[in-house]
Amino acid sequence: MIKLRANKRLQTTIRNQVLWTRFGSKIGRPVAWVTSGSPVEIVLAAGFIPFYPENHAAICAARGMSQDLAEQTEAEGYSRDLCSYFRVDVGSQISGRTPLGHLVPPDVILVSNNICGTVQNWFRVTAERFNVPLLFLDTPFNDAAPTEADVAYVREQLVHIAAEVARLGGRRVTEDRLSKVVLRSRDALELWAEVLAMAAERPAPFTSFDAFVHMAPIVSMRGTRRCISYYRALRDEVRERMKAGISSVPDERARVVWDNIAIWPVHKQLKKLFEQYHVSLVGDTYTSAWTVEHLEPEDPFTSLAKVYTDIILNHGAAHRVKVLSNMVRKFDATGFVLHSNRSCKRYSLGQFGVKTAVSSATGATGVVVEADMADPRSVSFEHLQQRLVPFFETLGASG
Amino acid sequence: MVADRLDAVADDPIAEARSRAALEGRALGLGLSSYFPLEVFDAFGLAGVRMLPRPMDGYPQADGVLQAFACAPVRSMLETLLQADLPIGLVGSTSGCDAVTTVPGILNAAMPSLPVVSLRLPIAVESEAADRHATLALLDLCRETEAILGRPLDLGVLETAVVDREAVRVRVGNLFGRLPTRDIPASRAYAAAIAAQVMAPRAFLALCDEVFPADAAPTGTDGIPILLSGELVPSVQWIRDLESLGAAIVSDDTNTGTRDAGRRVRRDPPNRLKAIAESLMHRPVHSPERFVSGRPRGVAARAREAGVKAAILLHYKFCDPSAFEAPSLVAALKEVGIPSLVLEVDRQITMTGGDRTRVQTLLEALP
Repeated sequence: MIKLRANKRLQTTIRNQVLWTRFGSKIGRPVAWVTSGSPVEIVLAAGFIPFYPENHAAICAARGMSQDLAEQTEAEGYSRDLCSYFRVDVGSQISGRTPLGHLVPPDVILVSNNICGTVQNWFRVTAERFNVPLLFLDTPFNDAAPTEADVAYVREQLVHIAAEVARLGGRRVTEDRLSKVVLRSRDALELWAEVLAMAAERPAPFTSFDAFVHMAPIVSMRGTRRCISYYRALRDEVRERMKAGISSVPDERARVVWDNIAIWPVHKQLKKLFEQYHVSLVGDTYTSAWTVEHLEPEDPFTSLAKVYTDIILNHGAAHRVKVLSNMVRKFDATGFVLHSNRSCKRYSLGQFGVKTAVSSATGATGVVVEADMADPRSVSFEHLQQRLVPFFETLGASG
Repeated sequence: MVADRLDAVADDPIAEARSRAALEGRALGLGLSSYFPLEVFDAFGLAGVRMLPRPMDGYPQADGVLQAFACAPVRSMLETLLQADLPIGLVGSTSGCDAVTTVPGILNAAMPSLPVVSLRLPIAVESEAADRHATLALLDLCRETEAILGRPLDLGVLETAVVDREAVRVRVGNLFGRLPTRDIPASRAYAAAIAAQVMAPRAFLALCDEVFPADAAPTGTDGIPILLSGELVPSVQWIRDLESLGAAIVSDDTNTGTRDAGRRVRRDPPNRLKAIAESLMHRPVHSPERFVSGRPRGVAARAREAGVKAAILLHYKFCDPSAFEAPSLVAALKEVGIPSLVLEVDRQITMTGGDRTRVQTLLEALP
């Protein structure tokens, strides 16, 4: 199996981003902690350096630090049933332990409930801990596309947030400046979409196991030139692989898609299991959340309002069925895996109905696996194996 | 005894809802969350009732459509709906915690013939934009309801329903306001609060007049004064169990009790729907699932004012809003010198042996 050259580049990119955050903070650039679904373009246009606690929690989990950190938070009285990203991230704040060396504290926090209700509570706790202002973007949940009233409501808040970040130490966010950042975001999102789309090829030159890792820059660096450059190189490399017929999984025998966040504590083991059974994980609803269309620099506030309200997790089960069914068809998959993620109610509750509906719409076979994105105490690789191996065999794949 | 009638309703509110629908010859308009404005369902000709958890051994049907890491009240409500033995005209949900927010989608998949509408209330409060959007969200809900039911909102009935429902909330609020002086046992106030969610407003008020006559002698219980905070109380029996251990609830911060009862609809603006929407946004005692700053300190201040000696925080397993709030509530109470105990409950209706011991230990440890 030929590994992606971009893996090394990713490490360097992330390391440079961490160093830039530290350096920028030292020379007086303000730092904004933001959720993954926040309109980061606004804080970038205001000259803030963004930092993503969710990404940070995922890194902690992938590095095997999550249980210790989660326990620090639980010791402060927070239930173990709460989101493990929250528990890991706050545990890192309490203990000062992080794989990134140290965390640069926020000057402001920007949170949007377009991905879940948890983040509004998580970041309230964080804002109180650091005694910094919390800016909240309320995006109405909707089963259909956002209404005009929804967009107007969100737009009004975005304009307010832009004024607030300028007041809190940033530059004034002019439409012109914001347009430039939005344009860079759009370029990066389009490149990322191109990369993911190439998994539709047979054999798939790139899988969601790769995507889960290579999504880091699109989450934490979109809106920057570095992000565009990163994905241009990744796109070119995946294209080369596609042309050369290089498969991510040796002797691909089945193709499946994934719903929900990765299971970080066993990410590598799962990847190996899929490879062992010659199953390509060709698409997923999580990393493709950063392939939104219609990000237009012409009217940036309205465009951002539409895009950030229309995020997959801000819609109900019917929308998820549509997205997942389209993905099954687009990637020519015969199966799909629904990760019932104990830590993410918004993403997980209702998956049983989604499974039935997607199967009925596409004819693909689905399986629900129970785990957690970051807490190893709620993840059993053996249990996952017991669920997945018979599923793979049903799809005609064997080890 | 009229009090027995109140207790019977509170012990099985779903049975009351069913018999009310039969008596009135109207289908039920079920509000899934504590702040769904039932007056709107009333004005569409439905019998507006709040969906409450009911005693049951398990959730066999709900477990087929919803993972077990949703809280017991949501699973219980879903189980009741899936049993399909209620005359339901419409189900109304509101955006709120992640579990409640996902319920309409789950219902649409599991019971496609069951009509469900959602009130997409802003989570943010304290802003004009949110107030405006709340009104638009309520208008959307009305349009959707009209399309489903095929009949318009009756503005005359809405006017009456607003007045009647407010009278119910005022009455419930007054009952809880009597707890610090121990005029009535807390279990009776909770029984009334539960009954208020399912009975026809005027029938409820009439029953209250009989159960709580103005000239009655105080009937409250002795005991150590405590605060009870949480989403829904599991049952009146659970409160009775607490009282039997020597606790007297003198301050309430639950969705069953004062949180909803504090809502007031302004009568002066000509747009009644706007007034209802604003009443939802400006409720003085919010649930933690709304984005309200300073809530824990407010709860602690009220507890101190009521002279409580300890607090019990009722936390449903898998209820994220209260799990997030618990540590800050504990800290805020501690700041004003009130020790607290977090009790995690799941689907039990009565107090478990373990919880009894925890409460006893707390009460015995008080100076």
